[in-house]
This record gives sequence, C-alpha cells and structure tokens, in this order.
Amino acid sequence: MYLFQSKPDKADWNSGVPVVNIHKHVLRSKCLSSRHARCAVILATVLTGLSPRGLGHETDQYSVPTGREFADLRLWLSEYMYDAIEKGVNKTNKRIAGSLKHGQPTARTLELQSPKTIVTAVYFQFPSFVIHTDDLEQKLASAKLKSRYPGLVTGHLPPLWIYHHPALMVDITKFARWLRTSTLMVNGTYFGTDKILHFVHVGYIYHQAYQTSLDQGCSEGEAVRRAVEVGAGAHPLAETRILGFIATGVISNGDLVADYAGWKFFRNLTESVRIKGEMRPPMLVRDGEYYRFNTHVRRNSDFFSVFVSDHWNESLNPSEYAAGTGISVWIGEEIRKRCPDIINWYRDDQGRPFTKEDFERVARELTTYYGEDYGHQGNLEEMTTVANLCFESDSVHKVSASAKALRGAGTSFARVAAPSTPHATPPDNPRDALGRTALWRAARAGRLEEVELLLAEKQDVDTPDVDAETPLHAASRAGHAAIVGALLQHGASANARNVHGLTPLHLATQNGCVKALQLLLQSGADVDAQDHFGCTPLHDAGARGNGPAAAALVKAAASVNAPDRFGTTPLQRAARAGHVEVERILRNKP
Amino acid sequence: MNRSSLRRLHSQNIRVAAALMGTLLLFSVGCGNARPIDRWQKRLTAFIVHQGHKDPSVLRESAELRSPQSLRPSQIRFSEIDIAGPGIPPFVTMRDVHGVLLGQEKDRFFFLLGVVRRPQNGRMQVEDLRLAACTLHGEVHQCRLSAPDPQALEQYLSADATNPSVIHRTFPMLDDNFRLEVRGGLAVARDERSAAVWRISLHDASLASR
Repeated sequence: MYLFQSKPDKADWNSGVPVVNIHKHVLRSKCLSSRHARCAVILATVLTGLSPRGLGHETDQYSVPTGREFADLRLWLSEYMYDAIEKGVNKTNKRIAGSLKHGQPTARTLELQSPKTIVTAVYFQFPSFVIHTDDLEQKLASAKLKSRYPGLVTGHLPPLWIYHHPALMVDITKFARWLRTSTLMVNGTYFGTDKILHFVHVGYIYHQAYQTSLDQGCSEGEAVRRAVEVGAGAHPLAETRILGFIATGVISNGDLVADYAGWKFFRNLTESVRIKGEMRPPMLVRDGEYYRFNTHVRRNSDFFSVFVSDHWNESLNPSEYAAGTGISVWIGEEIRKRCPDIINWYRDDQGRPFTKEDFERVARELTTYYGEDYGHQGNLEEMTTVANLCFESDSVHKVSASAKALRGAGTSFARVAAPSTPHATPPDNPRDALGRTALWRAARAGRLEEVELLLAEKQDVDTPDVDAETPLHAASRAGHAAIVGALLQHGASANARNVHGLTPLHLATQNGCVKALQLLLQSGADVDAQDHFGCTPLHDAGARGNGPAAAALVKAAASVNAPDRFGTTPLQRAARAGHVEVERILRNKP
Repeated sequence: MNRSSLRRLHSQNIRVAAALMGTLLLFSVGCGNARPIDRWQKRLTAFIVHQGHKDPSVLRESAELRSPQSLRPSQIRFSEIDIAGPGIPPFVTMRDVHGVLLGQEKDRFFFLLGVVRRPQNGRMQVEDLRLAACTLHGEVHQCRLSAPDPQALEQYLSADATNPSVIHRTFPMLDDNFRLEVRGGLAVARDERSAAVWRISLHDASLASR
C-alpha cells in the first residue's frame, strides 16, 4: 500500500530544480506530527470509502486460474515503461535545447542535464498514483491486449479471493476487498498490478530519500538504509505502520521489494546498478548535450523484466498479518481451501509439483533481494505460508508423495530458482518424462559449471527432448551465450531442428542474444535456415525489431528478400511491425 | 378491466416469463455449448488476419506469447477461452478449446483440439478431442474435423486415472507427446503415452463430422 505522491511545485519545476515536497517530510524521521498522521488516517478512510481504488491495493496470487495459461507480458510491460522513459527524455532534451545559448551550455543547461532532473522528468510521465492501477487494469482487460494474446490470461481477478473470509467483513481489511488488483505474469513471475504502483511511486520516493541522504553527506550504506526505512522502517506512513499494518492488517513483503526494485530502476536510469546480483549499465546515456537510450534498451527488447522477480509474488513471498486480530487465521483458512490448486500450479524445472521443501526454500531465498536487505518482515516459521498450511501431516490437503510424479494439471509454471550446486544425472533416470537430460536442463537454466562438468563426463551433447530440442536450442532460447559456446566447442549441431523446424539460430535471434547468434554463425549455422513456416532468422529479427541481430545476420549474408511460405519477406515483417531501424538495415544492405 | 384485457395481460406475463426462462436456460447451458470449436476457428482466423496480416506464420508467435520459462516453450498452441467474468452466474459451465499444432503438410495445418469443460466451482474435465485439418488461406479458413471418438478420448484420459496429482484434467497435459503422420490421404495423430489415435481423411468428406 502507499498513500503519498506529489507533483513538483510548478515554479520549482520551471526553475529547473524540481522539489517534491512530500519527500522532505518522508526523509525527516520525525517530520510528521501526530496531527498530520491523524489527518492522513482520516483522509485515507474517506478516500477509501469514496473510491474503489486509490489507497490500499491488495492482490491474491493464491487463487490461481487452474487450467488456463497466463500471457507473458514481458514485452508489453517493457513497451509501457519504455514509452514513459522516452517521454521524459524527449521533454528533458527539449528543455535542454531551449537552454542552450548559441549552441553552448549555460548554467541552466547543467541543471537540466543532472540525473535528478531526468529521473524526475521520467517519473512524472507515469499516471498519478490515484489512477495508475485503474489505468493498468483497463489496459489488461482491453480487447486490444486480449487479441494480441489470444486464449491467454492477461490479468486474473479471481471471483473469490483469500480476503473473502466472512470474518474479514467486520475487520478494517474489508476496505481492501474493494481495492483488488489483477494478477499478471512477466517472464514466469506472477504478481499484482499494485506492484507496478509500488515500483514506480514508492520506488521514486525511495530514490529521493537515497539521493537526499547522499547530498547530506551520508555514506552509501546509510543512504540505502534510510531509503528502505521509508517503506519498512519506523516512519508513520511506512508499510509497517499506517499504510500496511494499520490500514489493512497486511504487511506485504512483495510490496516492500517492489519499492526496493523501483528505487533501483530510477537509479539505473543514469548509473550502473546491481540488479539480481549483476551490474547493469545505465538505461540512459549522454550524447553530447542530450540524453538518449543506451543500446540495450529498445522498445521491444524486454529490458524491463530484469527488475521483476519472484519476490513480487505474494504466495511465494508471503505477507505478514497483524498479530492478535485473527486475520492470519482467517486468511489461512482461505489459503487451505486452495492448497491442491496452488501446489499443482507451482512446479520445478522438470514439471513436478513443488514440495514443502521447495516452498520453504523459495520463501527463504526471497527474504533478501539477492542478498540485499529490502526490509522483509516476519518469521517464516510462524507466518501464513503455503509450506506451513498445505503440507500439515493431518491436513486433508496433504499432498501425497506420488504428487511428485510429472503428470499434472497446470499449464503454467513459476520460474524456479536453480539449485546452486551442480548435480549429475541420477544413473537410473538419465532422461525425465520430457526426454530431457541433465545436460539439457542445466543448459536451459544457465548453470555453466554443471554444463562443463557434464560435458567432461562425455554426455551426449545433442540428445533432444520430446519436442526435438537439443541442449543448444535450450541455451539459445534462454540467451546463455557462454553455454552456447561450450556446447558448440563439444560438437553440438548448430543446425539441429525442433519439431517445428526451428534451429538454435532462430531462437537466439528471437531472444535477441547477439553474442550467441555470432557464436552459432561462426560454428556453421545456416543463416538462411527456414522453419516449417518458411521463416528464416532474419524474419524473426524483422518481426521483433532487433537491429543488432538483423545487422549481424545481414553481415553474414542472410537473404533479405527470402519469402516465407506465405510470401512475406523479412523486410515486410519489419515494415508491418513498424521497426524502422531494422527496416533501414535491410533496405541499406550492400 | 374487461376479460380481453385480462387475457392480454396474462399472455404478456407468460411471454415475459418465457423470455426470462429462455435467458436463464441460455446462461445455464453456457455459451460453451454454442459449438466451441466454431468459436475457436473464428478466433484463429481473426488472429491470423489481424495480427498476422493474413500470414499464418504469426502462429509461431503464439509460442512466444508464453513465458520462455514454461516447460514446453516450443509447443505452438492456440486457445479460445469461454466467457468468464463478473456478472456470469456461478452455475454456468464454460467450455474452452485448446489446439496444439502438430504439424503442416502442403497447405494444411493439423491441430489436435481439446474441448475442456470448466465449471466455475468444480473440477475441469476434457470432454472431446478432435483432430483438425485447417487450410488458412487469406481470410477464408476452413477446418475439417475428425469424427467424435469417445474410445480414443477414454484411452487418452485413462492414462491419468490413477494419478492423484491430477486435480483438474485439462488439455494438453505437461508431458503430452503427440506424433502426426500424413500418408496416403490420411492424417493420423497418436498420443505416445496412451497410444490413443485420431484419424482424419483428407479426401473422404464422409469422415468429417461437420
């Protein structure tokens, strides 16, 4: 939950020094008097009563749409975020241009070029927090999005959710019943649209807190601590106080980590930031006097899903509930009813339903953000978790050991954290029910160390699965260039075809992994390989607007005018999708 | 009020009641019974015409609309989900259609279609499986279906009958492995696990169910 957002004062904005007044308050730990706090509570109550959305949004990843499959909205969400960033960049560049005198920068130009200005400019391209969820919910429910993802779930709003327990009607959490947000899926992660609000709006406030602390001379560590305290500390408006614990009785760890990831997003606009344990280059760079996108950020490059993680999923990263109110008991009862469906929904990398240990392991891993403290609340052993509720020895919902069998009903899967230690294939089970070897699974999961171990053991490098995909297909699709290189060095076939005729080069191009693409080309991959639809890798580059991949394929003498079985050329694909850069590359082919 | 007015009022009431009953019946049987496979075919045509600019290659992208983290990222599927949402009475049963593209031969695309019965508060069940041969030219698409085969359906479903982990039976299952063979004017799809077989003649119209 969150409450606060404020536009910068117009005069301040025009002077080039945007100030968001609320942040001054947020940063001073004793800034809010009790009078202010009372006003905030009254305001929250009134607004909650008046508006179906706006203050406390809750979401439910326990009620899953069994038998249906989610659309992966990674590209759609990247486009959504890209458009906001682009607007902020264009506006800032326009103002920078206006500040130049005879083409030379002035003091005002320097102000406009500061990271603070561009970050604020980008932030204010997003909808206001009051309408942001509605905006997202409408987009998810739109016919346009549904026709883009036919037969797939774009946003899931369960008719009965875990907050439906009758006892909650007399609790203040009843307000939250009206403030429901849909679940969507990005790159295998299920989360509510409220996480986007947290990511953008609270993430921005985290960033302001962090930046101000640095300006005040605080150390990096202290600045981070102060930023996290905005959501998880003793501040009256924190998730752990009025906005979560008191308003709804729910402290959402998913919300806290979305806040934290949002802070990293705003930092990453102009500086390199560690995300998911790896340093990511800034999304924007200076080009002369102006800002432009860095090369890895394109409208359809799926640059955004790196910020999304299983931490946002409230059934994998459970919330803490107000002690002594009965909320955890009531919600626990609702979760118990859903245990069979939940357990069938979440699966490991071989398709087996999650065990109690799997749920415990994942919940434990999610208590930190890849080793960083994001302010996680609660003790997992005492919390209302799937592991604690769905695997009790005397529970009617106990899952039998045979549930570990591969067969299951779900058609969607959680992204599963890979085991940290390599393991060899059990000798009695060299291939799983999908025909995949240990090498295949390690290649897909990006476990280079394990791949090298298995290759050293002389495992067959080209053993295909039931869909005729080899380990090289799996690594190419996942974009693991180092593993692609290792497999090719051990003689993997660069021109293997899957059940629909796709080669690893098609998949590397679809994924946009230029490094893997180049390795494949160097190893003799057919640059004009046609799948059963007659599509070449260049068709894929054109359809996805992947300029670097298109350039690499053209350089390798790919045919620009090769039609697919239905007469469409790569150039036509690019033109129809409006990918101007690829279109230019294909037209200018020497 | 005279007798004729009373009679008129009475007949009006009957008409209103009949209309209400009819509406209720329509909802209770669900939209799903209105030939779900027809709905699937119309949706497929609309997708190819609008999203693919009449190029069926757009079907390749249906695999990419799923998460690369899914267990079968290469499987090309096309689904039509029955109406669901706020305002639909809880007793209405939905019927979804999921099609798995098994292969192509000349101008034909072969799908195995599963009709899944989905009560709003109950377990799902696969109630029909058909092999479809579709020609997808321009805006005129035609699909020919194999005849209903309860025996093949039963054989396919029985492979899961003793598995307690199957809470809801849907289609396709995670490890379904179908093989298509087209030979001598006959297309044959086979489920490798249960050995269930679906056949469709590409010449003899009498084998088509529609």
